[in-house]
Amino acid sequence: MIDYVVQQSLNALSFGAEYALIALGLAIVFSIMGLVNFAHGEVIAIGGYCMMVMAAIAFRNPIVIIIGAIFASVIMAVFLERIAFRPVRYADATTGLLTAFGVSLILQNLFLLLVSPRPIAVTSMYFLDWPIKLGSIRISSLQIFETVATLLAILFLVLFLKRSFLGIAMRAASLDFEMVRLMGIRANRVIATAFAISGLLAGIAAIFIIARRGAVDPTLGFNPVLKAFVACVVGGFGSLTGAVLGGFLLGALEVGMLVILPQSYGGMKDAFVFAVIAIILVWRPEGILSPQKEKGDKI
Amino acid sequence: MLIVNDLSVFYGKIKVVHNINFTIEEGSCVALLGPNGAGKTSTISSILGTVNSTGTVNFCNQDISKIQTEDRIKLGISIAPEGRRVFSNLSVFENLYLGSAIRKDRAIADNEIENWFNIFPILKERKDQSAGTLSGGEQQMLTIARALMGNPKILLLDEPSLGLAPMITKQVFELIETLKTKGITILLVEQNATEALKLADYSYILNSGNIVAHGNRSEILKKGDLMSSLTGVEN
Amino acid sequence: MNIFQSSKSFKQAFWGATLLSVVIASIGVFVIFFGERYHLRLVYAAYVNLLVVLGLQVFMGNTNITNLSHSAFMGLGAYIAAICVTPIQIKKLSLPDAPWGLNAFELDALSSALISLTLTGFLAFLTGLVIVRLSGIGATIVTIAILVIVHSIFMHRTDIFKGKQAFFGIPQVFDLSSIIMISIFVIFVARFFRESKWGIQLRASSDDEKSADAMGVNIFKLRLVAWTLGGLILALSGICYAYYLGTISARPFYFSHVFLTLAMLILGGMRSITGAVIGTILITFGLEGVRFMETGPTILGLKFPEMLGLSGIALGAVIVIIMVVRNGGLVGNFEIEQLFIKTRKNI
Ligand SMILES: Nc1ncnc2c1ncn2[C@@H]1O[C@H](COP(=O)(O)OP(=O)(O)OP(=O)(O)O)[C@@H](O)[C@H]1O
Ligand SMILES: [Mg+2]
Repeated sequence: MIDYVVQQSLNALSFGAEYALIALGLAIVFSIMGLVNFAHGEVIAIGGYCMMVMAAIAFRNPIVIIIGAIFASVIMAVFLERIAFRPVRYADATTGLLTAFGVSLILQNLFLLLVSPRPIAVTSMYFLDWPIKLGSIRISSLQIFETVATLLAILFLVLFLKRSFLGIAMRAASLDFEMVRLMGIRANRVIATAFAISGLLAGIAAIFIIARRGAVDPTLGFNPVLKAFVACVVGGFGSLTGAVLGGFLLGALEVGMLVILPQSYGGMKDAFVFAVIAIILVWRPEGILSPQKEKGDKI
Repeated sequence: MLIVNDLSVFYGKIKVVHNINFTIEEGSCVALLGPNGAGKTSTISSILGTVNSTGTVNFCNQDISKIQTEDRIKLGISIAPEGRRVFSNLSVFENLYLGSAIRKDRAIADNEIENWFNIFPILKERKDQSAGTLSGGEQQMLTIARALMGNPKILLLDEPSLGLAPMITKQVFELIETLKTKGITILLVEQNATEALKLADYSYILNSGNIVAHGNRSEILKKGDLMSSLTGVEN
Repeated sequence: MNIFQSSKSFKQAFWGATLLSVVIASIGVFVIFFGERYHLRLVYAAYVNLLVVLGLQVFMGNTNITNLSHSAFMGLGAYIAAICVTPIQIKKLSLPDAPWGLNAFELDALSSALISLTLTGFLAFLTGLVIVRLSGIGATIVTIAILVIVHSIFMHRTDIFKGKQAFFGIPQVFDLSSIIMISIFVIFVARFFRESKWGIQLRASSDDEKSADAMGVNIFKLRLVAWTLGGLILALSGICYAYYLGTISARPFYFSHVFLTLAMLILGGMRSITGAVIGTILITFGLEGVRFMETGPTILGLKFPEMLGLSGIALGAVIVIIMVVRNGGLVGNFEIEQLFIKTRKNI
């Protein structure tokens, strides 16, 4: 019984880690420019397609493929900011959200048009996945990698935000973007950095998603991002801590649903998860950890 | 040093500042006074390039009215904005650190932070505390210190005494006095016209987006009626 | 006419709706007389989409909150009506395991439609209670949650909805002329709502919540009215869909349809009914062209390659371009009657 609980907790942790990674990528962009980047899923997908292409042109070294995929996601994120999101930077949240939807739609269909509507096998990340037995607990190495990588990414991000000049500027920008510009810090630089970080996180997520699924298709990132989006809102949109918390909460919730729900309802897991999320939002409309609203003035 | 020529400011289609002209000499302290809604903050914002405006702003013999906000700051314009706008989620130290964004000489800048801490011991005490927890007066000091971290050629001060107790207000004006003696060029926007007139070498009175009077202290004070109706200064 | 602030708003709404109805009806009548069978189906589908876009407009256009659950409400309307109206013999065949005796009754088309409207409207009301209290992004999230929840129920309660498979045997109740009349009715409803006191207050409040609060407007209540009315129109669109096609399945009530109709609304301009109508017309015709290219046609001796995904790219591009270039859509706040009557500047 204890074993079962431990087993499921580990599952929840690795699920949660994936959502937290993606949610962080969404939150960091949102916190700075108020954009809900629905095209984040396609940034993940481009990582997957990059792995496919690299494997196809005979890159055998998995490290090279991993770096290539992360690099592709970073470039894609920064590129999207440059061509699609910069023009709507100062527009209202609805405009940004709809633009992101449009971008997501274009990219998904571009993948479909240029590559294939069907999943394409990418097996180069399978090496990350082998079963591990600890007593009667059976987990996969992938779960460990995923959790550890997420924790490392979070640690790196915290250090960056606390210690580096640009990181501090980004935290400031999440509160009062214009004031940061009035310090002479370039808006473009801050925002491009935010997108680059979100791309980096998306690239890492892509590796684990591909390692688990072994195939890439145009909607690879769509569903995970949908969930991560929810995680962000539950945690409090724009709060980075909230995103991580929301991600892990969602992971726990999903595993919990799989455990509680009878087999025949397994397919309805998403419905229940989303229902719980909706209830949480009714209870706390601003999310569990909503960011500070007020600007720095005390009058 | 700063020459504003035929400046108008727009919010959408609404024009709130109407073709004003004024000049700030290097090393001088100029006050911009006027009732609420006169367009003082709007004027400052147009110098910084954060609002829509027409006309030209000339800074150190360069027309800056077409360049980006960030570039204007880099040329040496610094702002202590209305309402202070400290980064309340950042520590006091980090606020000052960001103030030195445009500096190349990081090491000297770090020294200057120490320097500010000596001037305002209270900031040193609160160094690692988040700026949002400071009192209004402390925040104002932080805002001015932050603005000066960039080593500006001109400092724009928008209502530095707003909402402060008389004692603290006095401190703020003393600080401005010190800055003046250091030779920093200052544009001071104030509600507290009595104090501002004392400090300023030259003043402009703004009403409904028009400059209705200008001159040095005694010239302004001669227009007693106008002054008392607009700024509450009694002769 | 006390739902209007002035008789002028009423006049505007009336003439605007009338003009749009003329446009909509003439297109329909033209197709009835000159179109081939294949055209009829396409045009019918376009009218269904018009209803969806209008239903979407009632909430989104007046509150400026992005709704992505509209296809779910359309699906609910369609399925509920279908379950009620489909003959018992067919249901015994297609839904042998249906619970609660769902396969043991049948109703006439009108009662089925009324039941569908009531139930969907009630669900809209319930979900609305939550949504109207949330701010922009939070509200959008909950609409996504609704879409996902409803879709998974459609997909996994195969004993009731048949999931991916077709729910067949729905009698054909409507034809093109019926949906033209329904469209005209809905255009009037949406336009009257837009120009009513509530509509005007809602739009004012979406511009500036604080001032609306100060005016003593209860935004929540107004939003709830808009949301529920939108839900009813969406249910109606679903009913029309089911009552013509005879077969429905869960697939069309998900993201791709959400995006399609959203693009229609955005292109024309979500703040105006004229915009909603224009957007629907343009995208419907535009997509036909793009779909033709998708199949890899031969034009002037040139063989084009098959280009699946082209229509998705086109829709996405429409959304992005409109948002970047002109986020009020093609017409912004403009309504058609302004071509003919001079009006004060619209809110
Ligand atoms: N963002 C804005 N949008 C629309 N109108 C604005 C905006 N900011 C200021 N205004 C208007 O412009 C006019 C001038 O405002 P401004 O803030 O420049 O006045 P001010 O002189 O700084 O007043 P105060 O002493 O109260 O700070 C006012 O009528 C104000 O309502
Ligand atoms: Mg002001």
